[in-house]
Amino acid sequence: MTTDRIGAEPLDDTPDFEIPAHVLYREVDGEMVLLNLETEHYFGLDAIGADIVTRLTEQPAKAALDALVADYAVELEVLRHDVDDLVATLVDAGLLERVEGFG
Amino acid sequence: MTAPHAALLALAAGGGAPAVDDEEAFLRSVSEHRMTAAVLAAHQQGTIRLSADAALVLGTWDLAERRDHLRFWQAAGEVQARLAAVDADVAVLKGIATEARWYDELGQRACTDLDLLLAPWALGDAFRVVEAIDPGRTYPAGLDRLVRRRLLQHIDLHVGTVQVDLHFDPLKVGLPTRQLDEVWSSTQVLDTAHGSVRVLRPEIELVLLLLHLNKDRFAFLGPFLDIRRILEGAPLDWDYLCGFVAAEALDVPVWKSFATVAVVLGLEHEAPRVTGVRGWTWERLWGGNARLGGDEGRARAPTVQRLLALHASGRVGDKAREVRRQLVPHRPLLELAGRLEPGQSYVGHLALRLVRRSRDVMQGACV
Repeated sequence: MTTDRIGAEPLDDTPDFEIPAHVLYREVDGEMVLLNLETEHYFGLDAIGADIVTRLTEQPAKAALDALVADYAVELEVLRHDVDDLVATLVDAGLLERVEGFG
Repeated sequence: MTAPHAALLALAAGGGAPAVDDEEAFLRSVSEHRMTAAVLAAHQQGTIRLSADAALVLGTWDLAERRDHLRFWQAAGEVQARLAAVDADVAVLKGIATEARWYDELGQRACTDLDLLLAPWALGDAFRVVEAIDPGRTYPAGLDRLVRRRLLQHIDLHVGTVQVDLHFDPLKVGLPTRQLDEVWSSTQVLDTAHGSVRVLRPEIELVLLLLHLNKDRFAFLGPFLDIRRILEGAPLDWDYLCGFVAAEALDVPVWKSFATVAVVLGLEHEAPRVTGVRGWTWERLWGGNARLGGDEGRARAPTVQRLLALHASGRVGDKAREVRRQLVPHRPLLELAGRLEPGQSYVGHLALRLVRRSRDVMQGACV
């Protein structure tokens, strides 16, 4: 599994992650279903997973983590661990990638 | 025959949908009637309430549809590139062209293949065109002649995994389209995020879609929505539209189809009234119970579809030629369809075919 730890200092407001062009996704009732066009694999995210991915692809990782800690009332380290796992899984599946040029 | 679920009909008509208490049957109907995107949008807008599981199923189907459409766009670009090398050009009909023009985003209009119209100037070079698009297949030697004589209206090809329906005739109802040059010269270039393609003038696109609904026996509800989209989105020139239909002598199928869509969707537009014997026989063949039959209804469509050409006004010579083409197809047509092997008796095949065809038409007309 790829080790893709998040939370490094952002260079600007650019998100640290993006959903690659070869991935189609659709949000449905807060959940998310993704399709990797290269592997033809579908992937489903529950509402929390979808929220994490949405935030990580809309703002720098640190800001996303801070917001998630506040919204879900969870310890930062616990959250970081869970998010790291999710990000690693998605990156391995080709469903998420680091924005080029990031730290 | 699988009629659309009541909630689907209500949604298509633009009203509030009744509660869905049989989601499994509802989803089957959504899929069969090609309504995934419309139902998903309705769910997200709160017009219809579905369980989270059902909504996710729709979301997954939606992705699959969008994936297919991206492939169609890639194939369209590939065909354009291949045809540039043989000095030919195509317009994109229906499918992704209709979607890109009249719908909001990719995947909203279900389609199963890529329909293309060959430019009229390239018709005499059909053999080279089909070889350029789908090389490596064996095509009958008489292909060019069949196309030049307007006896072959389309051919099924493949570009990778995408099925391409290459039209040599835009309307493809059996009779040769009279205004071929007008159809082509009035095409417009549509720039999209997925590529630039040539598309039909809206009025002609509307005619084509109505005739296609008719040919398909109005089997699926989803394609009805195309008509609403065009009526809402296009600045239609009704004088041009009526003139085009009249020049093709296709008033009966076009306006009867228009009236059918208007009734099902509750549209206020009023189609020109069609009366007379042809209107009466049209109603017997495609009216009432024959409509919205889903996959089963579509399966029966090709049999009755052959009678569509006979519902043109006049055009006796064209009709006679079409009847002859159907009953006694030219040898290259049979070879192209894989129904006649080299060395097989042409006359023997025709005799057997005539018996089967007569039986099918009688059965189809009785259903």
